[in-house]
Amino acid sequence: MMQLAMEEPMQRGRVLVVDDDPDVVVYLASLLGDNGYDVTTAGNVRSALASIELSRPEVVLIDVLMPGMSGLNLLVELRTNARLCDIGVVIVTGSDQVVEDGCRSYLKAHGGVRGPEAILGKPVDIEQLLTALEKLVPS
Amino acid sequence: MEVRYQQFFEQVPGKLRVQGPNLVITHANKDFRAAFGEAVGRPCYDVVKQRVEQCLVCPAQQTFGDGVRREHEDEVVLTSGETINVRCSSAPIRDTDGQIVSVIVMFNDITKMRQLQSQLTSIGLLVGSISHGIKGLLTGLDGGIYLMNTGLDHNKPERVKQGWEMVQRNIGRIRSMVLDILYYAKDRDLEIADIQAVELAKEIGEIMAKKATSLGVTLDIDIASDSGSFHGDAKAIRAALLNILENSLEACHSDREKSSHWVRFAARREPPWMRFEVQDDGIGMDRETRDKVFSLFFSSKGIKGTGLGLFISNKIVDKHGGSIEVESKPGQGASFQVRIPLQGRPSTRLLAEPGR
Repeated sequence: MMQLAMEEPMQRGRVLVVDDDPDVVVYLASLLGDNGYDVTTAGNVRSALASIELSRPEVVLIDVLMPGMSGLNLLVELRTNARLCDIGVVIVTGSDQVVEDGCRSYLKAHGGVRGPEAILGKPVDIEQLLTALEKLVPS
Repeated sequence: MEVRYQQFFEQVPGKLRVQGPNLVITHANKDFRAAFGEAVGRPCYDVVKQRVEQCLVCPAQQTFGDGVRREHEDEVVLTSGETINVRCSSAPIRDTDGQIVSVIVMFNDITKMRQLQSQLTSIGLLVGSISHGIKGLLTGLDGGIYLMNTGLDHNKPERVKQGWEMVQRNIGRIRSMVLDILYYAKDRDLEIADIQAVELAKEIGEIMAKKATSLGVTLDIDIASDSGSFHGDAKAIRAALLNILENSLEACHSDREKSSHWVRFAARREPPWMRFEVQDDGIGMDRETRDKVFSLFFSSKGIKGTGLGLFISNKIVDKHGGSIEVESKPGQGASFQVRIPLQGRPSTRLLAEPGR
């Protein structure tokens, strides 16, 4: 089982959760908050970009299919911006296609930018998510 | 002997014609005439396509040029006005010197096969879309259970409540998804009866009130008491309106730019129509989303949408001889106007009414 650190959270770094589904946002924000991360949230790519400029998270969790710009757009935005290209990206998606293909075909069509650090399918495996974050933001 | 061949030609099970280099038809068999009428003396594009000039690509013409037999698929128009899919085969007919004098062309009707194929494609898309939707709903359920468990473990009743609401909301979504799938799978005939507009609207309001509360949206119901009754299938119309209302509530729930939201549901009798209106101040739609809003499997709701709901609403309203209009801009909410003819759908109404 995962470690719950609700009583005395240790600070482990900033994570931005981007998903258009408010239930998923509340879920992931609570889960990561309980595990000591400093979490901010955004419901679309536009507000995610604004939030990244403000809070400079270490990792961004990105959903793919969202109204307006897709999560893969955000990935490319980050990778092609010299100031933001070091931010870790974890894709969290319900699309089998994205999980199987590892975003490769999309990235190839966008100048071959560096892919995400991890891709996780929905429903999210908590252990997998926490392990991926642990690697990106060592405590 | 010639009479025998004439009989063979007549009885070939397929729509058979022979045409000259100018594409004018010189012979047509029984099946061909039954489908396209008297064709001899007219060019093929006039007879099977109802065109005034030659088609852009003409396999018959190509066969005249190179003597090669060809097969391709095409759509042609019968005298009844119906369009059918055909497999079209053409072959040259040569005289004793080996010169191509005519081309023989046969159509085989493959409309049923194409329809089955497109249904299979739809089912494939549906399965993908459903599995996509279920993954999103499972994530929501996981989230609810996580909040409840951790809330109970750490004695945080607010968290338990939040988790419980999340579970309920996602169960509700599963329910409406299943209903949509069933509605899509069974294309049943309408059961037309007299519907009391006030009762229908009240019932819809009650079903939606709970969902609105759980999403933190104010639902305002405005039904004129003199709305009377109209002809329609009550179950189907209820499903159509519920889908539109759910869509509006979700559009509010997804909008975090405003702190509070409203959805307004109104019904008015405006002869010859019964008019329903669903308005919201949610995220709104850009032009692309608005144009595709009733398309099968189109969803802007990311993981939550199967792209079935509004497609079904539109199908139901269309079956009643009604219409749905949408107005929306990004960030400015949306308005759906549903019109159902008060007297049902007599086939003459469509012709009798200008502007429809």
